[in-house]
Amino acid sequence: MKKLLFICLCVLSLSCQQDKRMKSIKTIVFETNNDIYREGFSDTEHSFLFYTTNGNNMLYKYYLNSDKRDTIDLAEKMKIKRLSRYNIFFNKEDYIVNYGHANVYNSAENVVYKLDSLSNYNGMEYTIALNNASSWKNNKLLLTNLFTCDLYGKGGDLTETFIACEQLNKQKPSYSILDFENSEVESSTITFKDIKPKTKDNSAEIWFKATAIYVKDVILYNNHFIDAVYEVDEAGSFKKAFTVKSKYTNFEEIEIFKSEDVSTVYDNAINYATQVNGILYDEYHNKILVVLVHGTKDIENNGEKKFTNRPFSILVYDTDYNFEKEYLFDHSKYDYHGVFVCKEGLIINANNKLGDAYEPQKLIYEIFSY
Amino acid sequence: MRYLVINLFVITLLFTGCKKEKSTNDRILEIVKDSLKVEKPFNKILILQEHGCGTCNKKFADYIVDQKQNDSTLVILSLQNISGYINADEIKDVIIDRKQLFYKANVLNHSAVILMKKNEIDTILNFSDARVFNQNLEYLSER
Repeated sequence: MKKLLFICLCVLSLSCQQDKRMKSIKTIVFETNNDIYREGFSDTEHSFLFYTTNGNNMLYKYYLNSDKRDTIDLAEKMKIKRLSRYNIFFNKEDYIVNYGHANVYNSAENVVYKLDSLSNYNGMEYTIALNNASSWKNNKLLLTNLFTCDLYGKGGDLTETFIACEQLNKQKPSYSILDFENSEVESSTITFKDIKPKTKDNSAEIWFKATAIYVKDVILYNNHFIDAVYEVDEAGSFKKAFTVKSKYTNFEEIEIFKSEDVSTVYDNAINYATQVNGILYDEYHNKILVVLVHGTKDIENNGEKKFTNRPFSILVYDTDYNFEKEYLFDHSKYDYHGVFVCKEGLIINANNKLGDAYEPQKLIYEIFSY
Repeated sequence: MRYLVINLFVITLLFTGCKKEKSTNDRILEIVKDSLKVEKPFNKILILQEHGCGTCNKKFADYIVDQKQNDSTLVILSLQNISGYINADEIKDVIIDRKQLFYKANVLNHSAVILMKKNEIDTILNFSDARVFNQNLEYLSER
């Protein structure tokens, strides 16, 4: 009897340790016969996948439940000669294009907003939350901030200048809100110093990659290299909402001046460090989802386990920020940059450019239920 | 029987012990010859990638189109979004590598010119780094 109980306990313990997987319910494949620059998905009444080129600035839509196809000439629509580097995402049928260091095009208004002229901050660069419809709500768009620094190019020791700039910039607002209706850019109350008060005075940490999204009446903000997610209310008051914890990976301290070559530290952080890649709000299930990329150990011997060629998890939280589940994605075919909420659950890019089964010039996505 | 097992063990140990770790250059050549099926020898291999400094890669793409390509120069376009950088039809000896094999294998993470000597890699010049771009271009034009 004791033996049987022992075996039962062992089986139970083993089954508890098993990795949780989302259930793939459908694969969607479209041939593009074109090189893809940006791609994504829009969850709308007639949901569609899309991709863009940066050769001729065309956007192609492939509807999921019909043979319908659509194209948009982005340069013509935006009345500019040529788009070179840009980011784009859809919210239903409308889309946002972020180009240059401070230009945002809103297709719903058919207006280009030049943020430099709308903000109090000179020389600020803005990025949009990639592929994240939740950053655009009630005619307002959340942008994460990147700062330039006046101290550069004024002589002096470069490392000291770099540290001084990092320290100054970390006291500046972490994100901005572009109000399309009033053509205003409002700065956040939260800064990097608030998120990480212990940040040392003589060092600099990676802080340039972040997500800000609307969840109901509040904003959730996360710096991707830090495990804390903050809630900011309408009045600008903020508090730590929850800590991102994984059974597979841990966040590490990254100090820029660990190596003499700063750019190598940046590259290594993007390619190998544990990092959040985005926070999604699933309004169908009323859940908050965190896409967490696993860090690579022993880079020397696992150099090819970089960027998107790494496992990632999707962590599920309820809207009171209670952790519920962690789903593992460790097949190289999935790209953590392409995770979208859909009615069935999630739709995920299953044609990772660094994956072993990568098929160029194809859109391949899988729909998962959870 | 016991001696046979011991002998086999010793031979296996010797075999694995003698196995030479491949160098980065060997792995680059392996991709060129085995994966991209380049059989003909070339003196110069120009590899365009999309990682590193974007402006440098664009400038390097323009250089590839403008240079007078001779029979001993091979161009490898090792990037997914080729049409965003270059018109492949304008290049004579060109290999398309949309799977980015060099970057994927972590043996070459930037645009580069590989100078060959007796079918071995002699020099690798980095063309995705703004700090050395012009210097490397000068060196290349002198070769």
